[in-house]
Amino acid sequence: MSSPSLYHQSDTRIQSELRIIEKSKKNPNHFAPLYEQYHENIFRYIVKRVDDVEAAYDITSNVFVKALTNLHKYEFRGVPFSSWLFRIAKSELYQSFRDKKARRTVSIDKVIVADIFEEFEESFNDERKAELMQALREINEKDLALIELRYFEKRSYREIGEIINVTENNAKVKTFRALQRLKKVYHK
Amino acid sequence: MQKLKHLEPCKGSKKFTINDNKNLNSLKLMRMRKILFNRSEPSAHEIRNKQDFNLVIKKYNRNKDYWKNPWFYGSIGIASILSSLFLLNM
Repeated sequence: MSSPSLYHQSDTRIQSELRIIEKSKKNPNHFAPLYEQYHENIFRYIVKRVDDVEAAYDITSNVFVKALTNLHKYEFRGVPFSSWLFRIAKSELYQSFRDKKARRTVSIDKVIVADIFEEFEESFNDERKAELMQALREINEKDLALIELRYFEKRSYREIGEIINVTENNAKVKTFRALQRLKKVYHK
Repeated sequence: MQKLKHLEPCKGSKKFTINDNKNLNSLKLMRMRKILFNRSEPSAHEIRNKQDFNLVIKKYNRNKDYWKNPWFYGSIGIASILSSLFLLNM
């Protein structure tokens, strides 16, 4: 299941979000609507990357705690608030891997694997699937993160760019190179 | 792969080479990553039921304890410098 896109928000919605953020900077209890709005998206992003669902709930909760703690640093620069949350989620996630609170997991479904094989211009079978799994274990973390965002979660390059803090074009180039490297490891 | 003669192991030597390190890192990565196929995720309803904003606020209040604030350490530092300067001038 892919997370619903948080992009293409109307100006009115962005402005109302910014008002909530300003209020929350003074009183954290005002943050509740943003928590309710983004909890599911952040949770889904995390749960796909950890093996334990309960740990995913815990990490999600920590993401919002960290967001509240650092809210005074948040300034709107054209990037949606959700991207800022995703960046915190990414850092919390890697922190939990370092602390060994969760295990790095890659969640994929059959349809997505078929899409990857389409990109490789190959047909999909069980033997090839096993080889792809092996390749996914071997590629570096940055490449895997890009492949997950683009191919497993079907996010736009704009979203990816905002999450990893690069331009849309740069995200496109980086994702293309990551796929090329996956292909190379797969054919090894 | 780049060949570095001086890093190649001598016969019977247990020294690590760059290649060994790379292999070790990739082995570590492989062991660490778990790949799950067609995994069932909690439903939107289940996720909503797990929302707990009060817990977030509670954790937030615990986090912003005064001793975790850099200003706390800053003021202690300044106070100790001033008091040592005062003692030196006495």
